[in-house]
Amino acid sequence: MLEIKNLNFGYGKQQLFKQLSLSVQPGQIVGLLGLNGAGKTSLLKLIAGALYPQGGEITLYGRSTGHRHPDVLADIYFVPEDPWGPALTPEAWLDRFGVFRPAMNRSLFYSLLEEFQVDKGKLISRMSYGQRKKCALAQAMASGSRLILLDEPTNGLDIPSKAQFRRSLSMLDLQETIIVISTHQARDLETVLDPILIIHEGALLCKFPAAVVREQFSVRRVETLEGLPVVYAEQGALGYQALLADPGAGADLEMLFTAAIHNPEAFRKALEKQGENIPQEKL
Amino acid sequence: MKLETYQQPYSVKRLYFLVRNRLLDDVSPILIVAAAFLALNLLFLLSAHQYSPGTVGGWALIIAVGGIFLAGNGFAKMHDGKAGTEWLLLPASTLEKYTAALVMYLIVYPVFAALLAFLESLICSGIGYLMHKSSLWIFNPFTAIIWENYLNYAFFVVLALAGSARFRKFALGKTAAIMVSFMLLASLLLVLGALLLDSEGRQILYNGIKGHSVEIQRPLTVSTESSLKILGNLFLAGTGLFALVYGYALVREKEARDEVQ
Repeated sequence: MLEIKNLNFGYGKQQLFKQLSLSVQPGQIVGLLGLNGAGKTSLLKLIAGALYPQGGEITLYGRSTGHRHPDVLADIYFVPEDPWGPALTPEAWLDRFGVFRPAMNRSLFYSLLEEFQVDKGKLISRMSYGQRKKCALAQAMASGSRLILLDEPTNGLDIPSKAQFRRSLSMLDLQETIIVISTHQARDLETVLDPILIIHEGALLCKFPAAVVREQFSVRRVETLEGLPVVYAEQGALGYQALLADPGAGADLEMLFTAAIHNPEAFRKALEKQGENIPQEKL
Repeated sequence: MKLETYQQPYSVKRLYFLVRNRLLDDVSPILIVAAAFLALNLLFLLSAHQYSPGTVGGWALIIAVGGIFLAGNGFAKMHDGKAGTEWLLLPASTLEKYTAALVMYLIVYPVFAALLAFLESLICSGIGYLMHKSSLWIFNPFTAIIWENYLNYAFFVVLALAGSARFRKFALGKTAAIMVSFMLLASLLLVLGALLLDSEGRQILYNGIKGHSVEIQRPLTVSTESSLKILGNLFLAGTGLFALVYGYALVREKEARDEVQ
């Protein structure tokens, strides 16, 4: 279980997180959404232990990640948005760095490379951005780590690769694993993310299961907003594209995110009204 | 690696892998320099009428400079925007990562470089003997001069590593500049201390020299040979120890703050 308690962190005078608390259960693929500069990458680095919190505590299965103890580090795999490309082939990488991870699954690594169509004999440093990213994703997924942190994993991937990535998630044993995915490409991943976390202005704005998106909201094109349970609306030439707190055809994660950022109070109320009572201490 | 091994706070097996990785990273530049050195020697050998392979001290100095240069880049990866995060999050403790750098540049590199020097001197000397009937000389790493100066080499390696942990760019140059400034300051303090110990010196310090230069001609008691040796050793040991602890603290506190967000 991943637990963040009263996290404080900032750069210089700019405070990024103020008393941020959240917990994630094993078996979940968490979608971490937020505006540019909201601190998604910093949060992932804090969880991984690459940054030190200025207050509060981050624990993975009861052990602090900030101490960088080798066995805790081996239980976490962080893939940055632009992964490092060493002058090594994926095979050589496995021999050099895979040895530090006792749960590394070599056959899964090769299967994933095949799935992603990455040449295992080519130097990672000479691969394209997308290929390098796919190689890093294969490394993470085969690492056997119980916490995998992915920063914008679908950025730079072509359309078939995005599908390959979604498929590859099913190759993992998710019973004991927590995957946290920070993304702006909500549409690429909305079928796999559950639950969704939105961070805004240094705090957790809301946390809701993916079913909420599909079952409790709907998007409709309407001419007038009067009398409708509108959470958020965008005016166009032909009327409004409205997000309604009304079970129907289902909503779009990107629209839900925009609604949450645009009017957090209205969004929270809509969530609560729909039966998804978000406890105050988790907000 | 077995599960029990990676649960240990300090593991020799992880240390072995870290040192091995460092050697694999550094082996190419070492071999390139060694090949260039061999080529130069052969060129000299073919163009000159007589061949002198040099001295143990000369060869050892080249090896030492190479080691200090490599140590000066020992933690360069840690500062890199992309590789740095990977380096920090590699499942090994800070102490293991730091010890691996020390083992590499204090033990593995000198042994490896000495072996290369032995082979090169054997090749050059052998060809020189066949061509010019010059004396057969082979670099012997067990010569006393090497052991006598090993601690001086270790001192500079430790300093270079601390500099590499501190500075992101031009670490070796910046470390050298700091050392020179520090030594100038230390020399100044030493002179000041020596003047304070001397009665005439104290008079000059307290009353001023009123525009005249004053030369103290008698030897100061503090400047005897043994005192200077003790002072020198204290300086080396103190600075080396400080650099060792300071370098470790810098690696321990390093965060992946580059390219965030």
